[in-house]
Amino acid sequence: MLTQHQAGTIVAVTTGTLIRQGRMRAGLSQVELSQRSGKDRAQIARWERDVVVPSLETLRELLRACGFDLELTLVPYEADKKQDARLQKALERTPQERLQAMLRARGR
Amino acid sequence: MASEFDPYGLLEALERQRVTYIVVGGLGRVIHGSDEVTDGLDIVPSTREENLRRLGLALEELDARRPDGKAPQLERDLAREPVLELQTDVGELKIVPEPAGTRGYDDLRRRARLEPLGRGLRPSVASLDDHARMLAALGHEHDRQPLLTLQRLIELDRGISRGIEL
Repeated sequence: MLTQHQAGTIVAVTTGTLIRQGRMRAGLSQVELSQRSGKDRAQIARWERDVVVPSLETLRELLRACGFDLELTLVPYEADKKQDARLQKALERTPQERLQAMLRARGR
Repeated sequence: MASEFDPYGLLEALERQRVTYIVVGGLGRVIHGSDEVTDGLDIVPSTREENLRRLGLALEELDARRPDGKAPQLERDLAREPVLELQTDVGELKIVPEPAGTRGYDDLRRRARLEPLGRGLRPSVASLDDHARMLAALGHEHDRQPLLTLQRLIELDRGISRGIEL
């Protein structure tokens, strides 16, 4: 998910990191967010860990309870197939192979 | 920027002294599959007293130096600076007790994984999601591309683990 950072910087986060980021910026504990939003604390923890993905409406409710709103806009998107192929290949490698590939690239 | 960068040399010194830490930053992202190039190792140490003593021993072994050329004094320096940047003979080492958007070691360790890197090294590396969280919290324009790459890696990784073709 893409969101517009307050300073105008585009940041990419999962729904879990977005909830967590909103909660922490508001200085709230999970218990406090639970009280403000009326959602179960354990469920908030699951959403934050991305174990479960909340609906858009629930996400908005949670962020509003933190004092933020969710602004979604449609922007043009075109998949970067070359980058996807590179990343897919990287994911098929072991962590050791990824590190060694970076060290080889660094030496070039 | 160091011309020399031997992450194995840095990690081996930390392992020899049995330092408890989590790899974050550029090298952590590379280990997860990001196609960037990095010149240093960033770690989040446990800030327990005994661990900082061990980290101090590892820094001595690495002959780590602050940008002003002086040897670090861990407890004093970490109390003053959010990021302790050090130069060693095998590359840059940044010590970040509490990266942006996190509450430090205990916060990151829950989702961190031991990643085998060869030479018997299996350091704990922060999760992809936590790497995204840290970059997002920094909000730097120059972090935009690494952040978008992480986001795509998360999507592709989840697609693989769920058996879904994206």
